[in-house]
Amino acid sequence: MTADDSWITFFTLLTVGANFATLALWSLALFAVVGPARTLWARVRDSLGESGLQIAAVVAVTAMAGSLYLSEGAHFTPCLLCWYQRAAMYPLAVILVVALARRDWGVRPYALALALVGPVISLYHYAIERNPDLEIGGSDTCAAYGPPCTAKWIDDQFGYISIPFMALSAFVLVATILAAARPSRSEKS
Amino acid sequence: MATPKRASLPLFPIVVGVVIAIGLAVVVATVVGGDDDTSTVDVQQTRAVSVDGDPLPAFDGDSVEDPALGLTAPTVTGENFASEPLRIANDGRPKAIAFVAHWCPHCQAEVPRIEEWLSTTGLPEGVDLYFVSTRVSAPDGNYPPSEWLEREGVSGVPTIADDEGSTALAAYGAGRFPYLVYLDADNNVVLRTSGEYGSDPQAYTPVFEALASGEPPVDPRG
Repeated sequence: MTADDSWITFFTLLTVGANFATLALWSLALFAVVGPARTLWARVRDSLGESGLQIAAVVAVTAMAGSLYLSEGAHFTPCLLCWYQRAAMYPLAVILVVALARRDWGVRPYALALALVGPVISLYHYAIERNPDLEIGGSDTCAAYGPPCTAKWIDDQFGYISIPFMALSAFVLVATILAAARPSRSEKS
Repeated sequence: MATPKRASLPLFPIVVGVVIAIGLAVVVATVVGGDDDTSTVDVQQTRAVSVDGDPLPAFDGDSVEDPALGLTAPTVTGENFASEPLRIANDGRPKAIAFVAHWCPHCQAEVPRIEEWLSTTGLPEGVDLYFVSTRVSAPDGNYPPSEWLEREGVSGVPTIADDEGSTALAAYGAGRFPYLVYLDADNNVVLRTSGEYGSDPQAYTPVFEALASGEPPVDPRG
């Protein structure tokens, strides 16, 4: 296993963890609506109110670091859609860290906006990576210079995880945490 | 009466613990597993290329109004992946040169069609086909190109490994991939195309038949 392989495995496993966490939160929310998990869901929301900013900041900063590693360490050239996702993830990481330092839940609408725009781009990128024919305004050619958004830079990990899926997972987890958290009055700005 | 505050769940320590555990597991796997990346050690993927003659003008995708039509193609001298010298030059035979990039999904789709066409219909008598593996980038997908072309069953097609600066590609006008340049028996450009030819490999038949008969071939996609 090369160093690049190790890092990709690391980010892949984090992605799997993010997927499980997201699914767990959504499932819990669903069961809470039905009834049986209402108390547990309330506890989770309160807990996210206390540590949600920390977790969301860690997720966004890790995603940003992963993206920087893939371009600067593994030397994958970012395509246009990669840059669009970076345009959402990088400021998301910065404002979450600032909000964490200030314990400022007032960041929520701004962070949620970025965390909800990002997955749209990631999903589209993921789709055209799998089926290049879906590319809007695309062609059946690759530019001689510059990477196409339809190219896969890494083989699917666990059969479904590619680079845009990693970004998608981070965006969705951050958005889920921010939406679910119920900060106490003292935590609110 | 005030509601008693519920004890919060230690979510953040759990998240940090999981991240550290995954990191440690990967470190252990890397140390125990060692470096098993031997796939690219033996075969050099880019090789020195020299060009003799004027480069062709850039190809913008318009096969009909192509400024290169009628121009003499430069001679390209290089090596294949087996380190054997290879030359694409005026040898009195019409030929097609397919420039492909290993990371390009459209090349990945088209090369198997070319292979199917070669194995079913085959090249007409007196016509040659060359591949140029170009724009090689080790970090990018589907690397290395030598293994890719072998896997697709076209390793028997004479293939020049372009250099790191993609000199051969630049000399032929650097069209978008997959990029095909067709030359007549006098080594003059008669057609340049970019892109896939569609799902039917037989799309290549009329182009190569025209090339063999000395007629100007036309883009099979119209």
